[in-house]
Parts: sequence; C-alpha cells; structure tokens
Amino acid sequence: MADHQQKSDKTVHRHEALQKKLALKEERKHHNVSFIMMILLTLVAFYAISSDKIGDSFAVMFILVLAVVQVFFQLYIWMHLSHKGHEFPIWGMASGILIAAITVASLMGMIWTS
Amino acid sequence: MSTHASHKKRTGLMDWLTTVDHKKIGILYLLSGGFFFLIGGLEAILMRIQLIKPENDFVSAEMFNQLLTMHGTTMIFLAAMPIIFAFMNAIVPLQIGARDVAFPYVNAVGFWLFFFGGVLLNMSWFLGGAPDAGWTAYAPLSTVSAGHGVDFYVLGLQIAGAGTLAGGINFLVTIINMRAPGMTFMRMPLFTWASFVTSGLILFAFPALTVGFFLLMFERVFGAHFFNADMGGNVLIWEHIFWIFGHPEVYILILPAFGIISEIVSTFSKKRLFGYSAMVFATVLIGFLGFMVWVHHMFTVGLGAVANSIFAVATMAIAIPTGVKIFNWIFTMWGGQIRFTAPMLFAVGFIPTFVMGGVTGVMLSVPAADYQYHDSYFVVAHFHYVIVGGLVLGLFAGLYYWYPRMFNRVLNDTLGKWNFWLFFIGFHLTFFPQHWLGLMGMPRRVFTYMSGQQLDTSNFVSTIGALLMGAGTIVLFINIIISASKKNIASADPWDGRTLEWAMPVPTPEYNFAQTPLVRGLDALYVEKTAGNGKMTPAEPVGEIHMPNGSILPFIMSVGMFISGFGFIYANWYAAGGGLGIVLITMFLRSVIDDHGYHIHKEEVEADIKGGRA
Ligand code: HEM
Ligand SMILES: [Cu+2]
Repeated sequence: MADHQQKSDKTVHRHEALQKKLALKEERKHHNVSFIMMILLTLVAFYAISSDKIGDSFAVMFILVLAVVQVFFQLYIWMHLSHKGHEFPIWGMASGILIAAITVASLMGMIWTS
Repeated sequence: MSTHASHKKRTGLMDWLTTVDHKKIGILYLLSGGFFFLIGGLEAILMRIQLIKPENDFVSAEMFNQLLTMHGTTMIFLAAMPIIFAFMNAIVPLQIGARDVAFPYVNAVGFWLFFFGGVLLNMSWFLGGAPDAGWTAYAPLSTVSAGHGVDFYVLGLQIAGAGTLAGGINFLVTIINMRAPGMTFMRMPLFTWASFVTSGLILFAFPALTVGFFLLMFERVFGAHFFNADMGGNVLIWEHIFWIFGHPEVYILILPAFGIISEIVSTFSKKRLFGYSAMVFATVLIGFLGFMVWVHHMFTVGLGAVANSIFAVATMAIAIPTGVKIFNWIFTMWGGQIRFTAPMLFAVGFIPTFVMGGVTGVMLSVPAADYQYHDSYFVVAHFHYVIVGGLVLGLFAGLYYWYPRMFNRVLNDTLGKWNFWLFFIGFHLTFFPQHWLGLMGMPRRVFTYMSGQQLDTSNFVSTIGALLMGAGTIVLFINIIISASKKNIASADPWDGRTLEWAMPVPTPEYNFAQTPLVRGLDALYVEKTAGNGKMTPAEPVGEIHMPNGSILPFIMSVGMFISGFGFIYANWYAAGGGLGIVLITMFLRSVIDDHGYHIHKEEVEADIKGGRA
C-alpha cells in the first residue's frame, strides 16, 4: 500500500518535471523570437530615420510606435509581467504612466500652445 | 546556525547609528522630526513677534524672508514628513503582523539621508544666511537670490528628498508583501491604508521635485537657463514642476493624519469604523485626484479660462471623498461609548478644524474668487487650518495614542488635556483672524505693515495665539520628561486596542511577533477579544527567527552625500567628487559583503514567551 503510493508519487513528480521542462522550452522560444524581433525593430527604426524615402514627421511617429512595441517586449517577455504575481507592478506602472501622461499633456498644452 | 556567530550586539550610541530595526528608526525619525519641529516653531514665533504691531523692527526684512522660508521648508520637509515616517515605521509593520519592513537597510539609508539633508539645510544659518525665496522657491526670485542660501535649500532638500523617496518605496513593498496570513487588503487598519496611499503619492510626486531641484541646481551652480526668460527659458516651468509635486505633497501629509484619526475615533468609541470600505475608497480617490489639481496654486498666472476651469472643477471634486471621511468619523462616534482621553480629544478637535480648512479650500478653488484671495493672508489661514489644525493635531493625537507602544510609558492624560486646550485655543486665535487679515488685503510674506489699516488688532491677537501654541507644545515636553523620569512601564494594551500593534507585550520584542499571527477579520485583535481568547492565534509554530544585521554603512553613505552637498554649494569639485566617492564606496561595500543576518534560536524565543517577554 505504502509502496504503491510512493510509486504514484514518483510518476506525479516525473509528470511535473516534464511540464516544467516544456514550459521552459516555450519560454526560451519566446526569448529567442523577441530577441530577433527587437533587433529587427531597431534596424527598421534606424532605417526609417536614415532613409530619404520616408518623410521626417512620419518617421518620428513611426519610431515612437516601434518604441512602444519594444517596451512591451521588454516588460512582458524579459521582465515576465505576464506571469502570476505581477498584478501590483502592472497597477503601479499603469497608474504611473497615466499620471505622467496627464501631466505631460497638460503641461504641453499650457506652456507651449498659448 | 553558522551565521549566528557573525552577529555583534552593539550598545549605546553605536546601536542607534547602525540600527536597521524599524522600531528604533521610528524613534530616530520622531526625535529628529521633533527637533526640527521646535526649530520651525521658534522661527514662527520670531515672525509673529515681528508682526505683533505695525512697523515693528524686531527683525530686519532680510531676516524675515529667511525666517519665513526656513519655517515653511522646515515644517513641511523636516518636521511633518519625518514625524509621519516615525509613526509609519513604528506602527505599520506591527499593524500588518510583520517582523520588520521589507528593506530594513534601505530604511536606515532613508532616515540618515533625511537627517543629513536637514542638517545641511540648517547649516545655512551659520554660513552667510538661510534661503530667502519662500518654501516654494519661485523662479526668478530663487535663481537670482544672492549668496548661498538657495543653494543650501536645493542641495539640502535634494538629499532629504532622496531619503523620503527610499522610505516611500520601502513602505509600498512592505505593505504589499509582508502582511501576515489572513491580513487581506480589506482587513488592513486605516492607518496602514493611508500609509500605503501616501507612499504611492511619494513615489509619483517626489521625482518631479527631484527633477525640479536638478534644474534649479544646474541654473544656480552651473549657469544653465531653464527658467531664464531672457535666454529662452520659462519661469512658469518651475512653478508647474513645483506644484505637480506640491499638491500631492499636501495629501502625502494629510492622509496619514486621516489614518491616525480613524484608528483613534474607532478605538475610543469602542466601535468598528463606520463605512470602512468607503473610507478606503475615499483615501485612494483623494490620492488619485491629488495629481490633477496642481494648477489651483497658479490660477492667477494667466493660464486662461479653460485651464483654470478644468483644474477648478477637479479641485472641488476632492471635497467629496474628504466629506465622506468626515461623516464616517461622526457616524463612528454616533452611539459609541466615547472615552475622552487626550488622544481622543485631539481627534475630536481635528474634525471641525479640518472642515474649516476644507471649506476655505473650496472657496479658494473658485478661480474668479481666488484672484482676490491669492497671495493674501487668507491663503495662509487656509493652509494652516489644514496643516496645523489637520495634520499637526493628528500627529499629536498619534503621539499620545502610540506613545506607550513606542516608549513603554504612558503620557499623563491631564497634562495631555492641557496640551490640547492650550494648543487648540492658541491655534484658532492665531489663524482665525488671518482670514479677515487676508480679506482686508494684507498680503502674505510681508515683514511689516502700516498702522491705520485696521490690521493691528487681528495681528496682535494672532501673535498671542502663537504664544499659546508654544505654551501647549512646552506642556507636551514637560509631559514627556515627567513620563521618562518615572519607572513604571505601560501596560501592553492601555487603550483596549483593536489592531495588531497592541497584541504583543511591552517593550515590543525585537522580532515583534514570536509567532506570526493569524488574522481573522478587520480589527484583528478585537475579533479575538470578542471571540473570547483575547490574544492572537499563531499562524506558525515557534521557530528560529531570521533577523537582519545592523550596519554603519547607511550613516557613512549619508555623510558622503552631506560632504558632496557642501561641495556643490561652494563649487568645490574635490569635496563634491569626494563625497560622491564615499557614497560609491559604501554602495560597493554593501554589494560585495555578504551579510545574511543572523538567527534568534528557537530556545531563546521560547524562553521569551515563557517569561512574558514575547
Ligand atoms: C478640500 C480640500 C482642499 C482644497 C479645495 C484646497 C484648495 C487650495 C487652493 C485653491 C489653494 C491655492 C490658494 C492660492 O494660493 O491662491 C490652496 C493652497 C494651499 N493648500 Fe489647500 N486645499 C485643500 C486641502 C488642503 C490640504 C489637506 C492641505 C495640506 C495638508 C492643503 C495645503 C495647502 C497649502 C500648503 C497651500 C498654500 C501653498 C503656498 O502657496 O505656499 N490644502 N489650497
Ligand atoms: Cu493644492
């Protein structure tokens, strides 16, 4: 009886280990993909600025969008924000970004438009 | 444990310089905050003596400008903030059932940075004159102010501000991560909630100030022109940056007082707080709205009707959650078994006084009316009603309430009542007439006034009131000295408390809880009292307790900052670089020296429990 239990415990353990391995593999894949993507995005950003074919004002907006994408890669893939237990950092960052955005927008509106 | 051997027990002065224990750091904050409170109070009394009669010449105009600048700066940054941190340190870890804050070492760094920043700022008195551009340091007044006064302001506050920021982050992490089992967010005592929101405000507001100080420092020390309109700069940027920090700062100050009042009103009414979840929601909402209203300090600079209206409406909106709190305190007392002890007296005095400050606040938030009030004594009356009538009464209440926990002695209740009445009557005598002074046209920040403008009587009354407030404070110090000279130890739970800070014996063991308590509801201790067992159920067996080692590095690091601050003020790059070098070396040492702390053995804990010491 005790022997039996030990055996099933062992298989459970093996199962868990396997799952962990798979998850790790998945994560490594994400890391590789995002690493390549981030290099590509950076190259594209450089190209957008150095090339004459793309207008200046469009290029600026374009690389800002790329920057936002990069931030998400950084936060979610590399800093694991998607994992459990990151609710507080997300709340903190979101409210910080919100307050900073309101502040910067109203400052720009009040100082440099009138 | 092998690490146990590495533990050196320090005593006396060295113990205080190296401590990382939140209880001791709380006491350090209280002592130094109290010291700066006395200095700031002295400056205030000197100003009031100058204003007791028209055309007085007790101090010179230049001296008056220095006094008013240092009074405001000292009271906000070096008295109010540290005393708030004193209570947060002494009480929050106990209230959430933790053994310390999340980063005890950073806690010590935060304290010493504040301390040396404050000392640096006050050195200006002896080194050619204190800052004289007002606590708001508006450009271009601050950028052209002669001498080194404003440099001391910038560098001193920059260093103290870094300490505050470290403290705020520490308490955010502590409250999120270190709560005892069962201590959910919606079971946290209101003081802990207020400390949490205040820490969040510090995290978001102080960086704005840090940036502003760097700009001002570059302008004064390195000849930059951020605020110099002749060179393409803009003076308004300083004003915006200062108030983007400054308004959240006033809520950083008042929220902990709200928390203290909530604890006291509930304890001394023997009722749970009325509308607990509404109180929590109001606290969070006030914190959030606090970032959307800074322009109400700038209604008269000419930002235009649209900007003024938006910020006026946002400002008025804050009155709503604030009103919710007022009503909840009143309903908590309603039908309760009220005991008018000294802390309760301060709490009850707080409520109407703060309401009066809130009402003048809403008056000020109407831009058209503010054109009349702005920069007059009316504004001075408003913010003293909220800061002294609100925050300071709250801090006095908290001091009387938590004194037994912090210092193992009870303050005398009769003297406490004298303290209250002298201070309370003095306060209203000082600041109520200032409403009229403002409405009659007396501008703020003037060193004298002419006779025959009907300003004499109100100013005279105001000065008498200030002396009474001073007398009230002296009574407090007499009370403290008397209690310190007596030998009798306070009982562990002198007020029939409801929250966890009353759940351990006095003196509080260095590890706070021998066994982490299991929290089974709001007002955790009271839940157990009504359930009949009267003490907390442990959530873990007795075991080894891991403790952090003390360290002298935070002290040395802050001395380094202090030296470098001097270097920047006098443009002496050897001192500036050398000081920063000391900081870097201490950081390096901290990183490479492995310090795992030490363990208190299970047997010692068991002996403490048996001996009634834990
Ligand atoms: C209902 C809440 C409040 C409202 C609507 C309000 C509104 C205002 C307004 C409109 C001003 C600017 C007046 C002027 O300069 O012309 C002001 C100034 C001020 N308020 Fe409040 N206030 C409120 C609560 C508070 C609280 C809770 C505190 C602090 C604990 C506070 C501290 C101050 C300070 C320090 C100033 C003057 C700053 C200076 O110019 O030196 N206020 N308030
Ligand atoms: Cu404000």
